[in-house]
Amino acid sequence: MTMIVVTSARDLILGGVDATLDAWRLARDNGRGAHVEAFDLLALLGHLERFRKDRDVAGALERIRAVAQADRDRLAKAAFAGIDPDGWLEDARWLEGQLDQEDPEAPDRLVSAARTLFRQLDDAELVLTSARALGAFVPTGLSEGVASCVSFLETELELFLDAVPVARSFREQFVPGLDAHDPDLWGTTLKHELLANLLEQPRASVAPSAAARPRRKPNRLLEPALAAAPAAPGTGLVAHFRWKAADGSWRAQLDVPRRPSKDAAVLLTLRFLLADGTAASQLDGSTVRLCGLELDVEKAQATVPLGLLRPAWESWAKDRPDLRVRAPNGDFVVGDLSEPDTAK
Amino acid sequence: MPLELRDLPHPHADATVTVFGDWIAAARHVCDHVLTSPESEGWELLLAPLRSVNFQDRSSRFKLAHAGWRRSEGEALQEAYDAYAREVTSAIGRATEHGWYWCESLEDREWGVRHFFGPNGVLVVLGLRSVITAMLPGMGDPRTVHAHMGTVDSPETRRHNPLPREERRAGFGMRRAPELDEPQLAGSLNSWHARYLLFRKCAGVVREAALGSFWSVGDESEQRLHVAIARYEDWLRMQGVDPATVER
Repeated sequence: MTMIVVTSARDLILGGVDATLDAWRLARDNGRGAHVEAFDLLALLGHLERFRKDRDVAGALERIRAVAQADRDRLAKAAFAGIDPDGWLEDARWLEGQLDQEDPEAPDRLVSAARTLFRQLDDAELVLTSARALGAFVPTGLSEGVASCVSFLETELELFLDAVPVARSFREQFVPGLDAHDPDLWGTTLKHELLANLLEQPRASVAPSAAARPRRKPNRLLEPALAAAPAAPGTGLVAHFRWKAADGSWRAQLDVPRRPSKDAAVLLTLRFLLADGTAASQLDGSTVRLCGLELDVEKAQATVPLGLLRPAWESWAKDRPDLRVRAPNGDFVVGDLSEPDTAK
Repeated sequence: MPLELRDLPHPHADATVTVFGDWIAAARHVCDHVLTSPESEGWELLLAPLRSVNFQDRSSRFKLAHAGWRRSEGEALQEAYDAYAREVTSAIGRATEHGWYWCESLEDREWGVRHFFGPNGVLVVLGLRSVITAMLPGMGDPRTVHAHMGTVDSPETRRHNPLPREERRAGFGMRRAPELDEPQLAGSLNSWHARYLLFRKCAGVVREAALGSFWSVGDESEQRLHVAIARYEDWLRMQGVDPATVER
């Protein structure tokens, strides 16, 4: 039995290899359509080809390749039946509609939807890439359909902000130099690069500039790389960041709307509250450090211009802002992050 | 006679919990998961045959759901509920045995809410007093579930529309349309094979969700999730079945 702690993309992919092979064999041998299993198997092949090759990955790759070569045509035919670009586009537009609402229902489900759509698109690209690499015929219409989904993602990148951790976790596994030895496979990594760069400074990576890939229209988010904006009606979902003092005596909150804004002069407010929701005025006169920026607390609040926070946050290169409070000994101490960075 | 709720021992507390908090919650979950297509196709594999419903007949599912809300507090749903409760109990027991349970968030941990994933493919969310929900993950349409949230959902509205999530398409995003063309799982495969494919599909969704939870909450939550997947023969053994006795 495979018992695995799932904390990374690598765990997720490697942990499912044997079960996917078994499921494909059962479905294939029983003459069922098997599109789910075929899709997963070819996507797995693509994931493993794209990963750095340690012993586990190399072993899994060998097992998958053997089956994929032997069942190539049946696999490709069944897997292609499991790809629905029109369905993906319709659901991506549905997600856009939900995020445009001022107070969407169940934002946690929208986080899940964004991640699912990103993963599905990645898998579909990998299915096509694997099929081509195996020498199977890939219908042009299907390739174009998936390409149109990729274009949508690239032009509406902010819809997929919640998939940034997904993109990063997969990107960490990519084999260096992929662009040189497998341009087709490398092409599947560009969307990870785009998303991963949303909240951090560009860095040397396996994929060259994502701008190398033609887009239908300029990406709205790449300009203000931090998807932060002043709170204004109709600007969409708000990311709530929360911290709690180590002794639980107070908490802090910073609300950041996710829609981008170019208005860098707008002030964001960091609020300090007691457990009962009243102002934590005992912090007045204290100094706090938010992503390295020192701010003074007055009336249980500290304000920071968006134009200052954005570059500070980017150089912090984390998806959560860091908040520290000056302790009596002069050191800045970190609070406990008490809630996830998604809207509730 | 109203729907009689079943109990099970809480796996981590010296207490008994009920399979859903009251008859209304129980009836909602029977209708929204067991009797609503396409999730009903998966439940058919686990629960059929039942005297009260033919899972493959939409009108049969609808009639049972309708009767459940019309007559004496869910009485008509008793057989389907009992079968559902047995799978829920089995999922919690096996998940506890194999360590396939976790807290999805810090709030869940604070409130004693745990997720259990059974080898039967059933995901159960368990509170300190009752089962909160139980489903075959990935079998429904997230858009439908989403559309349903925040709407008025009372016995009165259910009397008019007992299966509000029915009549929607299956799946989500890239992988939805072909699901509709898939032959009925129960009719096309050896039942162990079909049940394994169901388990693997649900396990895939659960593992993605568990990783998503880890990404959202991170190390601070001590959410190092042990969410397992099993090979076919291992999975058979987990069901108490000798693989040598199952037709290949």
